[in-house]
Amino acid sequence: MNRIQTDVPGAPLVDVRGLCKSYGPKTVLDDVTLMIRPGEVVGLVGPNGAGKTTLIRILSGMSRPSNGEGSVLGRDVRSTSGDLPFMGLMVERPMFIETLSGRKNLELLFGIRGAVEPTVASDVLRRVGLDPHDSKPVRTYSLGMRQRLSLAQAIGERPRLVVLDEPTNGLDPRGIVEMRSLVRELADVDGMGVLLTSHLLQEVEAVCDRVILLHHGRAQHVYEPSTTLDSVVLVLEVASVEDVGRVASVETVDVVGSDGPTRMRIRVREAVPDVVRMLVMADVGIEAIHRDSAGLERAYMESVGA
Amino acid sequence: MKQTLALIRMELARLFLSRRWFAAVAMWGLVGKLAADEVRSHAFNAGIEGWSVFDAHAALVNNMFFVGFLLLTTFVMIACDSLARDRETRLAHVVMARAGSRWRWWVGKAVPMVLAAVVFQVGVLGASLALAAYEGGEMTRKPSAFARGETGKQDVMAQLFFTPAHPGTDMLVREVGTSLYLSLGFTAIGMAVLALSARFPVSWLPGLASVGVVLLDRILGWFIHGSWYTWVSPSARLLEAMHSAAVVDDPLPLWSSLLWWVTLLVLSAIVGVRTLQRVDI
Repeated sequence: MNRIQTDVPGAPLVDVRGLCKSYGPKTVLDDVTLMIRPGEVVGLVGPNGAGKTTLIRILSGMSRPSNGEGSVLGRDVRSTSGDLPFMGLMVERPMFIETLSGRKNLELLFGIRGAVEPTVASDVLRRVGLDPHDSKPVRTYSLGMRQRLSLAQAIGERPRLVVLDEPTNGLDPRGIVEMRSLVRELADVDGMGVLLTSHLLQEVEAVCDRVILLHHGRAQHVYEPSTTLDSVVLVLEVASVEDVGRVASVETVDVVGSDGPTRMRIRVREAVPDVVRMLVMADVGIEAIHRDSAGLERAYMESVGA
Repeated sequence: MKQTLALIRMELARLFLSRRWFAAVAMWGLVGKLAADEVRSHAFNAGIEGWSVFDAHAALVNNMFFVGFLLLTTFVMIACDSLARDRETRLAHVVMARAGSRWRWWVGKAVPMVLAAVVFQVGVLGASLALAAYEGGEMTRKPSAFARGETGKQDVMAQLFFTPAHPGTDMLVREVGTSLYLSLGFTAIGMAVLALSARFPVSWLPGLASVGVVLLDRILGWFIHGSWYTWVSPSARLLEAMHSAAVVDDPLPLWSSLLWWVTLLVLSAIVGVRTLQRVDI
Protein backbone atom coordinates (compact mmCIF):
# COMPACT_ATOMS: atom_id res chain seq x y z
CA MET A 1 0.00 0.00 0.00
CA ASN A 2 1.25 3.44 -0.85
CA ARG A 3 1.37 5.00 2.61
CA ILE A 4 2.96 8.36 3.26
CA GLN A 5 3.96 9.72 6.64
CA THR A 6 1.32 12.36 7.35
CA ASP A 7 2.34 12.96 10.94
CA VAL A 8 5.48 14.76 9.79
CA PRO A 9 4.82 18.51 10.03
CA GLY A 10 4.15 19.88 6.59
CA ALA A 11 3.79 16.45 5.00
CA PRO A 12 0.88 16.46 2.56
CA LEU A 13 -2.51 15.39 3.84
CA VAL A 14 -3.63 14.76 0.29
CA ASP A 15 -1.17 13.67 -2.36
CA VAL A 16 -2.88 12.15 -5.37
CA ARG A 17 -1.66 11.98 -8.94
CA GLY A 18 -3.32 11.23 -12.25
CA LEU A 19 -6.74 10.47 -10.82
CA CYS A 20 -9.23 9.26 -13.41
CA LYS A 21 -12.81 8.14 -13.01
CA SER A 22 -14.98 6.70 -15.72
CA TYR A 23 -18.51 5.36 -15.72
CA GLY A 24 -18.64 3.16 -18.79
CA PRO A 25 -17.51 5.23 -21.76
CA LYS A 26 -18.03 8.51 -19.88
CA THR A 27 -14.96 10.02 -18.24
CA VAL A 28 -15.89 12.33 -15.37
CA LEU A 29 -12.40 12.83 -13.96
CA ASP A 30 -9.32 12.87 -16.12
CA ASP A 31 -5.74 12.94 -14.86
CA VAL A 32 -6.25 15.16 -11.82
CA THR A 33 -3.31 15.76 -9.51
CA LEU A 34 -3.81 17.39 -6.14
CA MET A 35 -1.75 18.07 -3.07
CA ILE A 36 -2.98 19.65 0.14
CA ARG A 37 -0.66 20.39 3.03
CA PRO A 38 -1.57 21.26 6.61
CA GLY A 39 -2.52 24.93 6.92
CA GLU A 40 -3.35 25.23 3.25
CA VAL A 41 -6.71 26.21 1.76
CA VAL A 42 -7.20 24.82 -1.72
CA GLY A 43 -10.15 25.88 -3.82
CA LEU A 44 -11.90 23.69 -6.35
CA VAL A 45 -14.03 25.52 -8.88
CA GLY A 46 -15.69 24.58 -12.09
CA PRO A 47 -19.06 24.48 -13.77
CA ASN A 48 -21.71 21.97 -12.72
CA GLY A 49 -20.69 18.50 -13.84
CA ALA A 50 -17.01 19.41 -13.94
CA GLY A 51 -16.08 16.54 -11.61
CA LYS A 52 -15.81 18.35 -8.26
CA THR A 53 -18.15 16.02 -6.39
CA THR A 54 -16.52 12.96 -7.95
CA LEU A 55 -13.12 14.15 -6.79
CA ILE A 56 -14.44 14.73 -3.26
CA ARG A 57 -16.00 11.26 -3.26
CA ILE A 58 -12.70 9.68 -4.24
CA LEU A 59 -10.76 11.64 -1.63
CA SER A 60 -13.22 10.65 1.12
CA GLY A 61 -13.07 6.96 0.18
CA MET A 62 -16.66 6.83 -1.05
CA SER A 63 -15.59 6.10 -4.60
CA ARG A 64 -12.53 4.45 -6.12
CA PRO A 65 -10.61 5.96 -9.00
CA SER A 66 -10.44 4.09 -12.30
CA ASN A 67 -6.85 5.11 -12.49
CA GLY A 68 -4.29 7.12 -10.58
CA GLU A 69 -2.40 6.79 -7.33
CA GLY A 70 -1.56 8.50 -4.09
CA SER A 71 -2.89 8.77 -0.61
CA VAL A 72 -5.31 10.71 1.55
CA LEU A 73 -4.42 11.00 5.23
CA GLY A 74 -2.05 8.09 4.76
CA ARG A 75 -4.58 5.77 3.14
CA ASP A 76 -4.05 4.51 -0.37
CA VAL A 77 -6.64 6.24 -2.53
CA ARG A 78 -7.18 2.99 -4.49
CA SER A 79 -7.73 0.86 -1.41
CA THR A 80 -10.82 -1.30 -1.33
CA SER A 81 -10.45 -2.37 2.27
CA GLY A 82 -9.43 -1.03 5.65
CA ASP A 83 -10.68 1.97 7.53
CA LEU A 84 -11.83 5.03 5.65
CA PRO A 85 -9.87 8.23 6.22
CA PHE A 86 -11.46 10.53 8.77
CA MET A 87 -11.93 14.00 7.42
CA GLY A 88 -14.45 16.71 8.19
CA LEU A 89 -17.00 16.78 5.41
CA MET A 90 -19.46 19.59 4.88
CA VAL A 91 -21.92 18.52 2.21
CA GLU A 92 -24.00 20.81 0.04
CA ARG A 93 -27.47 19.84 1.28
CA PRO A 94 -26.98 19.23 4.99
CA MET A 95 -29.42 16.73 6.51
CA PHE A 96 -29.83 16.17 10.23
CA ILE A 97 -32.30 14.55 12.60
CA GLU A 98 -34.98 17.15 12.12
CA THR A 99 -36.70 16.67 15.48
CA LEU A 100 -33.54 17.15 17.56
CA SER A 101 -31.64 20.31 18.40
CA GLY A 102 -28.39 21.18 16.67
CA ARG A 103 -26.37 20.31 19.76
CA LYS A 104 -28.04 16.91 20.16
CA ASN A 105 -27.34 16.17 16.51
CA LEU A 106 -23.68 17.00 16.98
CA GLU A 107 -23.44 14.88 20.13
CA LEU A 108 -24.81 11.88 18.24
CA LEU A 109 -22.44 12.41 15.32
CA PHE A 110 -19.41 13.02 17.51
CA GLY A 111 -20.38 9.98 19.58
CA ILE A 112 -19.67 7.68 16.63
CA ARG A 113 -15.94 8.16 16.93
CA GLY A 114 -16.25 8.74 20.66
CA ALA A 115 -13.06 10.71 20.71
CA VAL A 116 -14.25 14.12 21.86
CA GLU A 117 -15.11 15.76 25.17
CA PRO A 118 -18.79 16.35 25.96
CA THR A 119 -18.27 20.13 25.76
CA VAL A 120 -17.01 20.00 22.19
CA ALA A 121 -20.48 20.27 20.66
CA SER A 122 -21.22 23.47 22.60
CA ASP A 123 -17.81 24.94 21.85
CA VAL A 124 -17.99 24.35 18.13
CA LEU A 125 -21.56 25.66 17.93
CA ARG A 126 -20.37 28.90 19.49
CA ARG A 127 -17.47 29.00 17.06
CA VAL A 128 -19.73 28.83 14.01
CA GLY A 129 -22.13 31.41 15.41
CA LEU A 130 -24.94 29.19 16.74
CA ASP A 131 -26.36 29.21 20.26
CA PRO A 132 -25.47 25.93 22.02
CA HIS A 133 -28.40 26.39 24.41
CA ASP A 134 -30.89 26.71 21.57
CA SER A 135 -33.21 23.73 22.02
CA LYS A 136 -35.24 24.36 18.87
CA PRO A 137 -35.38 21.35 16.53
CA VAL A 138 -33.31 21.52 13.37
CA ARG A 139 -36.45 21.50 11.23
CA THR A 140 -37.00 25.12 12.30
CA TYR A 141 -33.50 26.18 11.18
CA SER A 142 -32.98 28.46 8.21
CA LEU A 143 -30.69 27.29 5.40
CA GLY A 144 -27.96 29.54 6.78
CA MET A 145 -28.25 27.96 10.25
CA ARG A 146 -28.12 24.51 8.69
CA GLN A 147 -24.96 25.49 6.85
CA ARG A 148 -23.40 26.64 10.10
CA LEU A 149 -24.44 23.42 11.82
CA SER A 150 -23.02 21.43 8.93
CA LEU A 151 -19.74 23.31 9.27
CA ALA A 152 -19.79 22.62 13.02
CA GLN A 153 -20.08 18.86 12.47
CA ALA A 154 -17.25 19.02 9.96
CA ILE A 155 -14.74 20.80 12.20
CA GLY A 156 -15.88 19.81 15.71
CA GLU A 157 -13.62 16.80 16.05
CA ARG A 158 -10.64 18.81 14.81
CA PRO A 159 -9.87 16.68 11.77
CA ARG A 160 -6.60 17.33 9.97
CA LEU A 161 -8.42 17.67 6.67
CA VAL A 162 -11.72 19.44 6.03
CA VAL A 163 -13.71 19.34 2.80
CA LEU A 164 -16.23 22.16 2.46
CA ASP A 165 -18.69 21.83 -0.40
CA GLU A 166 -20.38 25.16 -1.13
CA PRO A 167 -20.03 26.41 2.48
CA THR A 168 -21.47 29.86 1.77
CA ASN A 169 -24.62 28.50 0.16
CA GLY A 170 -27.63 30.14 1.87
CA LEU A 171 -25.57 32.48 4.05
CA ASP A 172 -26.30 36.20 4.29
CA PRO A 173 -23.46 38.66 3.53
CA ARG A 174 -22.40 38.76 7.17
CA GLY A 175 -22.41 34.97 7.29
CA ILE A 176 -20.23 34.85 4.19
CA VAL A 177 -17.68 37.17 5.75
CA GLU A 178 -17.69 35.12 8.97
CA MET A 179 -17.34 31.89 7.02
CA ARG A 180 -14.41 33.32 5.10
CA SER A 181 -12.53 34.29 8.24
CA LEU A 182 -13.37 30.99 9.92
CA VAL A 183 -11.97 29.01 6.98
CA ARG A 184 -8.75 30.99 7.12
CA GLU A 185 -8.63 30.47 10.89
CA LEU A 186 -8.99 26.71 10.43
CA ALA A 187 -5.92 26.72 8.22
CA ASP A 188 -3.80 29.43 9.85
CA VAL A 189 -4.54 28.77 13.54
CA ASP A 190 -5.66 25.15 13.69
CA GLY A 191 -3.33 23.99 10.94
CA MET A 192 -6.01 22.07 9.10
CA GLY A 193 -5.84 21.41 5.39
CA VAL A 194 -8.98 22.69 3.70
CA LEU A 195 -10.47 21.78 0.33
CA LEU A 196 -13.23 24.19 -0.59
CA THR A 197 -15.64 24.25 -3.50
CA SER A 198 -17.81 27.21 -4.36
CA HIS A 199 -19.39 28.98 -7.26
CA LEU A 200 -18.63 32.35 -5.63
CA LEU A 201 -15.30 33.00 -7.29
CA GLN A 202 -14.51 36.17 -5.36
CA GLU A 203 -14.94 34.29 -2.09
CA VAL A 204 -12.73 31.47 -3.30
CA GLU A 205 -10.08 33.92 -4.41
CA ALA A 206 -10.22 35.79 -1.12
CA VAL A 207 -9.75 32.74 1.06
CA CYS A 208 -7.74 30.18 -0.91
CA ASP A 209 -4.01 29.76 -1.25
CA ARG A 210 -4.49 27.85 -4.48
CA VAL A 211 -7.44 27.31 -6.76
CA ILE A 212 -7.86 24.41 -9.13
CA LEU A 213 -10.08 25.10 -12.11
CA LEU A 214 -11.82 21.91 -13.10
CA HIS A 215 -13.58 21.57 -16.44
CA HIS A 216 -14.78 18.40 -18.14
CA GLY A 217 -13.02 16.42 -15.43
CA ARG A 218 -9.63 17.96 -16.10
CA ALA A 219 -7.67 20.35 -13.94
CA GLN A 220 -7.38 23.14 -16.52
CA HIS A 221 -5.47 25.63 -14.49
CA VAL A 222 -4.01 26.12 -11.05
CA TYR A 223 -4.53 29.67 -9.92
CA GLU A 224 -2.55 31.05 -6.98
CA PRO A 225 -4.08 34.35 -5.88
CA SER A 226 -1.60 35.33 -3.20
CA THR A 227 1.58 33.34 -3.58
CA THR A 228 2.55 34.18 -7.14
CA LEU A 229 3.59 37.80 -7.25
CA ASP A 230 3.14 37.97 -11.00
CA SER A 231 -0.50 37.25 -10.61
CA VAL A 232 -1.21 40.10 -8.18
CA VAL A 233 -3.27 42.64 -10.06
CA LEU A 234 -4.40 45.88 -8.43
CA VAL A 235 -7.12 48.26 -9.45
CA LEU A 236 -5.75 51.79 -9.18
CA GLU A 237 -7.70 55.02 -9.43
CA VAL A 238 -5.65 58.20 -9.74
CA ALA A 239 -6.50 61.89 -9.40
CA SER A 240 -5.69 63.07 -12.92
CA VAL A 241 -4.69 61.97 -16.43
CA GLU A 242 -1.16 63.18 -15.70
CA ASP A 243 -0.93 60.65 -12.92
CA VAL A 244 -1.52 57.86 -15.44
CA GLY A 245 1.79 58.70 -17.10
CA ARG A 246 3.54 58.78 -13.73
CA VAL A 247 2.21 55.32 -12.93
CA ALA A 248 3.60 53.95 -16.17
CA SER A 249 7.02 55.34 -15.25
CA VAL A 250 7.24 53.25 -12.07
CA GLU A 251 9.52 50.29 -12.90
CA THR A 252 7.85 47.67 -10.71
CA VAL A 253 4.44 48.27 -12.26
CA ASP A 254 2.90 47.12 -15.55
CA VAL A 255 -0.33 48.71 -16.65
CA VAL A 256 -2.39 45.76 -17.94
CA GLY A 257 -5.69 47.47 -18.65
CA SER A 258 -7.80 50.54 -18.11
CA ASP A 259 -11.38 50.97 -16.97
CA GLY A 260 -11.59 54.72 -17.73
CA PRO A 261 -9.28 57.75 -18.11
CA THR A 262 -8.05 57.64 -14.52
CA ARG A 263 -8.77 54.05 -13.53
CA MET A 264 -6.49 51.18 -14.48
CA ARG A 265 -5.43 47.67 -13.61
CA ILE A 266 -1.75 47.23 -12.79
CA ARG A 267 0.32 44.08 -12.30
CA VAL A 268 2.98 44.51 -9.63
CA ARG A 269 6.44 42.95 -9.49
CA GLU A 270 7.16 43.81 -5.86
CA ALA A 271 5.27 43.42 -2.63
CA VAL A 272 2.14 45.57 -2.68
CA PRO A 273 3.20 47.94 0.19
CA ASP A 274 6.51 48.61 -1.60
CA VAL A 275 4.71 49.36 -4.84
CA VAL A 276 2.35 51.78 -3.10
CA ARG A 277 5.35 53.51 -1.56
CA MET A 278 6.99 53.84 -4.99
CA LEU A 279 3.80 55.26 -6.50
CA VAL A 280 3.66 57.89 -3.75
CA MET A 281 7.33 58.71 -4.29
CA ALA A 282 6.61 59.12 -8.02
CA ASP A 283 4.06 61.76 -7.01
CA VAL A 284 1.07 59.75 -8.20
CA GLY A 285 -2.17 61.11 -6.76
CA ILE A 286 -3.77 57.93 -5.51
CA GLU A 287 -7.53 58.19 -5.09
CA ALA A 288 -8.14 54.49 -4.48
CA ILE A 289 -6.27 51.20 -4.69
CA HIS A 290 -7.40 47.64 -4.07
CA ARG A 291 -6.66 44.09 -5.17
CA ASP A 292 -8.37 43.12 -8.40
CA SER A 293 -10.75 40.42 -7.27
CA ALA A 294 -11.70 39.54 -10.82
CA GLY A 295 -8.44 37.68 -11.46
CA LEU A 296 -9.89 34.25 -10.75
CA GLU A 297 -13.00 35.16 -12.67
CA ARG A 298 -10.93 35.89 -15.76
CA ALA A 299 -8.91 32.70 -15.34
CA TYR A 300 -12.15 30.76 -14.89
CA MET A 301 -13.74 32.20 -18.01
CA GLU A 302 -10.60 31.48 -20.02
CA SER A 303 -10.49 27.91 -18.70
CA VAL A 304 -14.09 27.03 -19.38
CA GLY A 305 -13.91 28.77 -22.73
CA ALA A 306 -16.89 31.02 -22.15
CA MET B 1 -17.76 -2.23 18.66
CA LYS B 2 -18.32 1.14 20.36
CA GLN B 3 -18.48 2.81 16.97
CA THR B 4 -21.07 0.32 15.77
CA LEU B 5 -23.20 0.81 18.88
CA ALA B 6 -22.99 4.59 18.52
CA LEU B 7 -24.02 4.27 14.88
CA ILE B 8 -27.00 2.11 15.85
CA ARG B 9 -27.92 4.62 18.54
CA MET B 10 -27.84 7.47 16.05
CA GLU B 11 -29.86 5.56 13.47
CA LEU B 12 -32.41 4.57 16.12
CA ALA B 13 -32.82 8.24 17.01
CA ARG B 14 -33.22 9.14 13.34
CA LEU B 15 -35.71 6.35 12.77
CA PHE B 16 -37.88 6.61 15.84
CA LEU B 17 -37.91 10.39 16.21
CA SER B 18 -39.12 10.77 12.66
CA ARG B 19 -42.54 12.24 12.11
CA ARG B 20 -43.14 9.46 9.60
CA TRP B 21 -44.38 7.35 12.50
CA PHE B 22 -47.53 9.46 12.48
CA ALA B 23 -48.28 7.74 9.17
CA ALA B 24 -47.74 4.37 10.87
CA VAL B 25 -50.10 5.28 13.71
CA ALA B 26 -52.70 6.38 11.17
CA MET B 27 -52.32 3.11 9.26
CA TRP B 28 -52.52 1.03 12.45
CA GLY B 29 -55.70 2.88 13.34
CA LEU B 30 -57.18 2.38 9.88
CA VAL B 31 -56.53 -1.37 9.62
CA GLY B 32 -57.44 -1.89 13.30
CA LYS B 33 -60.77 -0.14 12.78
CA LEU B 34 -61.52 -2.01 9.55
CA ALA B 35 -60.63 -5.36 11.15
CA ALA B 36 -62.74 -4.65 14.24
CA ASP B 37 -65.69 -3.62 12.03
CA GLU B 38 -65.30 -6.81 10.03
CA VAL B 39 -65.34 -9.00 13.16
CA ARG B 40 -68.30 -7.12 14.58
CA SER B 41 -70.33 -7.53 11.38
CA HIS B 42 -69.47 -11.23 11.23
CA ALA B 43 -70.53 -11.59 14.86
CA PHE B 44 -73.81 -9.91 14.01
CA ASN B 45 -74.33 -12.18 10.97
CA ALA B 46 -73.55 -15.27 13.01
CA GLY B 47 -75.74 -14.13 15.88
CA ILE B 48 -72.86 -14.24 18.33
CA GLU B 49 -73.05 -11.93 21.30
CA GLY B 50 -69.49 -11.98 22.48
CA TRP B 51 -66.28 -11.67 20.53
CA SER B 52 -62.78 -11.07 21.81
CA VAL B 53 -60.49 -8.10 21.18
CA PHE B 54 -57.90 -10.60 19.90
CA ASP B 55 -60.24 -11.66 17.10
CA ALA B 56 -59.65 -8.33 15.38
CA HIS B 57 -55.87 -8.84 15.33
CA ALA B 58 -56.26 -12.45 14.18
CA ALA B 59 -58.47 -11.28 11.33
CA LEU B 60 -56.18 -8.38 10.49
CA VAL B 61 -52.98 -10.39 10.17
CA ASN B 62 -54.69 -12.81 7.80
CA ASN B 63 -55.96 -10.18 5.43
CA MET B 64 -53.60 -9.92 2.46
CA PHE B 65 -54.68 -6.39 1.57
CA PHE B 66 -53.94 -5.17 5.10
CA VAL B 67 -50.68 -7.09 5.62
CA GLY B 68 -49.18 -7.33 2.16
CA PHE B 69 -50.10 -3.89 0.89
CA LEU B 70 -51.07 -1.37 3.57
CA LEU B 71 -48.88 -2.45 6.49
CA LEU B 72 -45.88 -3.77 4.57
CA THR B 73 -45.71 -0.70 2.32
CA THR B 74 -46.02 1.65 5.28
CA PHE B 75 -43.27 -0.21 7.11
CA VAL B 76 -40.93 -0.22 4.11
CA MET B 77 -41.49 3.49 3.49
CA ILE B 78 -40.79 4.34 7.12
CA ALA B 79 -37.89 2.07 7.93
CA CYS B 80 -36.22 0.87 4.76
CA ASP B 81 -35.34 3.92 2.68
CA SER B 82 -32.72 5.50 4.95
CA LEU B 83 -29.82 3.89 3.13
CA ALA B 84 -30.94 5.31 -0.21
CA ARG B 85 -31.95 8.64 1.29
CA ASP B 86 -28.61 9.09 3.06
CA ARG B 87 -26.79 8.46 -0.18
CA GLU B 88 -28.98 10.92 -2.05
CA THR B 89 -28.40 13.64 0.54
CA ARG B 90 -24.75 12.65 1.10
CA LEU B 91 -25.34 12.31 4.82
CA ALA B 92 -23.85 8.88 4.16
CA HIS B 93 -20.48 10.55 3.54
CA VAL B 94 -20.61 12.45 6.81
CA VAL B 95 -21.58 9.39 8.85
CA MET B 96 -19.45 6.85 7.02
CA ALA B 97 -16.33 8.97 7.44
CA ARG B 98 -16.91 8.59 11.17
CA ALA B 99 -18.02 4.97 11.00
CA GLY B 100 -14.69 4.20 9.39
CA SER B 101 -16.04 1.35 7.28
CA ARG B 102 -18.90 0.50 5.02
CA TRP B 103 -19.55 -2.73 6.95
CA ARG B 104 -20.19 -0.81 10.19
CA TRP B 105 -22.45 1.61 8.36
CA TRP B 106 -24.49 -1.30 6.98
CA VAL B 107 -24.87 -2.81 10.46
CA GLY B 108 -25.91 0.64 11.72
CA LYS B 109 -28.71 0.62 9.15
CA ALA B 110 -29.79 -3.02 9.43
CA VAL B 111 -30.13 -3.39 13.22
CA PRO B 112 -32.50 -0.42 13.70
CA MET B 113 -34.60 -1.73 10.80
CA VAL B 114 -35.00 -5.05 12.66
CA LEU B 115 -36.09 -3.22 15.81
CA ALA B 116 -38.45 -1.08 13.75
CA ALA B 117 -40.13 -4.25 12.41
CA VAL B 118 -40.81 -5.43 15.98
CA VAL B 119 -42.04 -2.01 17.12
CA PHE B 120 -44.25 -1.80 14.04
CA GLN B 121 -45.94 -5.11 14.81
CA VAL B 122 -46.36 -4.16 18.47
CA GLY B 123 -48.08 -1.03 17.22
CA VAL B 124 -50.37 -3.05 14.95
CA LEU B 125 -51.27 -5.36 17.83
CA GLY B 126 -51.81 -2.52 20.31
CA ALA B 127 -53.93 -0.45 17.93
CA SER B 128 -56.10 -3.41 16.90
CA LEU B 129 -56.70 -4.39 20.54
CA ALA B 130 -57.58 -0.82 21.51
CA LEU B 131 -59.94 -0.32 18.58
CA ALA B 132 -61.55 -3.74 19.03
CA ALA B 133 -62.21 -2.89 22.68
CA TYR B 134 -63.71 0.43 21.58
CA GLU B 135 -65.93 -1.42 19.07
CA GLY B 136 -67.28 -3.72 21.79
CA GLY B 137 -64.88 -6.66 21.82
CA GLU B 138 -64.53 -8.49 25.11
CA MET B 139 -61.28 -8.07 27.04
CA THR B 140 -60.63 -11.75 27.53
CA ARG B 141 -57.62 -13.92 26.74
CA LYS B 142 -59.83 -16.97 26.26
CA PRO B 143 -60.59 -17.79 22.62
CA SER B 144 -63.99 -16.60 21.46
CA ALA B 145 -66.40 -18.62 19.32
CA PHE B 146 -64.73 -17.05 16.31
CA ALA B 147 -61.28 -18.05 17.42
CA ARG B 148 -62.42 -21.61 18.16
CA GLY B 149 -63.90 -21.86 14.64
CA GLU B 150 -67.35 -22.66 15.94
CA THR B 151 -69.13 -20.05 13.87
CA GLY B 152 -67.90 -21.65 10.66
CA LYS B 153 -69.81 -24.79 11.51
CA GLN B 154 -73.04 -22.83 11.64
CA ASP B 155 -72.33 -20.56 8.69
CA VAL B 156 -69.19 -20.87 6.64
CA MET B 157 -69.48 -17.24 5.50
CA ALA B 158 -69.37 -16.13 9.10
CA GLN B 159 -66.04 -17.81 9.78
CA LEU B 160 -63.12 -15.47 9.53
CA PHE B 161 -59.96 -16.47 7.76
CA PHE B 162 -57.75 -17.45 10.65
CA THR B 163 -56.54 -20.58 12.35
CA PRO B 164 -59.03 -21.94 14.90
CA ALA B 165 -57.70 -21.97 18.44
CA HIS B 166 -58.01 -24.75 21.00
CA PRO B 167 -60.32 -23.88 23.88
CA GLY B 168 -57.36 -23.59 26.28
CA THR B 169 -55.31 -21.29 24.09
CA ASP B 170 -54.09 -18.01 25.60
CA MET B 171 -55.01 -15.58 22.81
CA LEU B 172 -52.55 -12.95 24.01
CA VAL B 173 -49.67 -15.42 23.67
CA ARG B 174 -50.96 -16.58 20.29
CA GLU B 175 -51.29 -13.07 18.85
CA VAL B 176 -47.92 -11.99 20.27
CA GLY B 177 -46.45 -15.05 18.55
CA THR B 178 -48.13 -14.07 15.29
CA SER B 179 -46.74 -10.54 15.67
CA LEU B 180 -43.24 -11.91 16.17
CA TYR B 181 -43.66 -14.12 13.11
CA LEU B 182 -44.76 -11.12 11.05
CA SER B 183 -41.83 -9.13 12.48
CA LEU B 184 -39.52 -11.79 11.06
CA GLY B 185 -41.25 -11.61 7.67
CA PHE B 186 -41.15 -7.82 7.58
CA THR B 187 -37.49 -7.84 8.69
CA ALA B 188 -36.54 -10.25 5.90
CA ILE B 189 -38.40 -8.19 3.30
CA GLY B 190 -36.92 -4.99 4.76
CA MET B 191 -33.41 -6.45 4.50
CA ALA B 192 -34.05 -7.38 0.86
CA VAL B 193 -35.17 -3.79 0.23
CA LEU B 194 -32.04 -2.43 1.96
CA ALA B 195 -29.90 -4.71 -0.21
CA LEU B 196 -31.73 -3.43 -3.28
CA SER B 197 -31.14 0.19 -2.29
CA ALA B 198 -27.44 -0.59 -1.75
CA ARG B 199 -27.33 -1.17 -5.50
CA PHE B 200 -29.96 1.40 -6.56
CA PRO B 201 -29.86 4.37 -4.19
CA VAL B 202 -33.20 5.96 -5.02
CA SER B 203 -35.37 6.81 -2.01
CA TRP B 204 -38.72 6.12 -3.71
CA LEU B 205 -37.62 2.70 -4.90
CA PRO B 206 -38.12 0.70 -1.64
CA GLY B 207 -41.83 1.54 -1.35
CA LEU B 208 -42.42 0.95 -5.03
CA ALA B 209 -40.49 -2.33 -4.98
CA SER B 210 -42.49 -3.57 -2.00
CA VAL B 211 -45.86 -2.82 -3.60
CA GLY B 212 -44.67 -4.09 -6.99
CA VAL B 213 -43.39 -7.44 -5.71
CA VAL B 214 -46.52 -8.17 -3.64
CA LEU B 215 -48.79 -7.10 -6.51
CA LEU B 216 -46.90 -9.26 -9.00
CA ASP B 217 -46.98 -12.13 -6.53
CA ARG B 218 -50.74 -11.83 -6.11
CA ILE B 219 -51.35 -11.60 -9.86
CA LEU B 220 -49.20 -14.67 -10.49
CA GLY B 221 -51.03 -16.40 -7.64
CA TRP B 222 -54.36 -15.91 -9.45
CA PHE B 223 -53.06 -17.43 -12.67
CA ILE B 224 -50.77 -20.16 -11.39
CA HIS B 225 -52.83 -22.84 -9.71
CA GLY B 226 -50.70 -25.28 -7.84
CA SER B 227 -49.34 -25.78 -4.39
CA TRP B 228 -45.78 -25.28 -5.66
CA TYR B 229 -46.45 -21.61 -6.22
CA THR B 230 -47.63 -21.17 -2.65
CA TRP B 231 -44.23 -22.52 -1.61
CA VAL B 232 -42.32 -19.82 -3.52
CA SER B 233 -44.78 -16.99 -2.98
CA PRO B 234 -43.47 -14.56 -0.36
CA SER B 235 -46.78 -12.86 0.38
CA ALA B 236 -48.67 -16.11 1.03
CA ARG B 237 -46.18 -16.99 3.74
CA LEU B 238 -46.94 -13.74 5.55
CA LEU B 239 -50.42 -15.03 6.43
CA GLU B 240 -50.63 -17.12 9.56
CA ALA B 241 -53.69 -19.06 8.30
CA MET B 242 -51.76 -20.42 5.31
CA HIS B 243 -50.08 -22.76 7.81
CA SER B 244 -53.36 -24.22 9.09
CA ALA B 245 -54.97 -27.39 7.73
CA ALA B 246 -58.24 -26.16 9.19
CA VAL B 247 -58.22 -23.18 6.82
CA VAL B 248 -56.44 -24.20 3.60
CA ASP B 249 -56.34 -27.53 1.78
CA ASP B 250 -52.59 -27.64 1.35
CA PRO B 251 -51.03 -25.84 4.34
CA LEU B 252 -47.41 -24.73 4.45
CA PRO B 253 -45.37 -26.21 7.30
CA LEU B 254 -44.46 -23.42 9.72
CA TRP B 255 -40.82 -24.53 9.76
CA SER B 256 -40.61 -24.01 5.99
CA SER B 257 -41.79 -20.41 6.36
CA LEU B 258 -39.38 -19.73 9.21
CA LEU B 259 -36.58 -21.17 7.07
CA TRP B 260 -37.78 -19.13 4.08
CA TRP B 261 -37.67 -15.84 5.98
CA VAL B 262 -34.37 -16.57 7.72
CA THR B 263 -32.79 -17.54 4.39
CA LEU B 264 -34.08 -14.36 2.73
CA LEU B 265 -32.84 -12.32 5.70
CA VAL B 266 -29.34 -13.80 5.73
CA LEU B 267 -28.91 -13.79 1.95
CA SER B 268 -30.12 -10.19 1.70
CA ALA B 269 -27.75 -9.12 4.47
CA ILE B 270 -24.81 -10.78 2.71
CA VAL B 271 -25.74 -9.44 -0.73
CA GLY B 272 -26.33 -5.97 0.74
CA VAL B 273 -22.99 -5.71 2.49
CA ARG B 274 -21.08 -7.15 -0.47
CA THR B 275 -22.82 -4.72 -2.83
CA LEU B 276 -22.08 -1.83 -0.51
CA GLN B 277 -18.38 -2.76 -0.43
CA ARG B 278 -18.19 -2.48 -4.21
CA VAL B 279 -20.35 0.47 -5.20
CA ASP B 280 -19.54 4.17 -5.25
CA ILE B 281 -21.38 5.94 -2.45
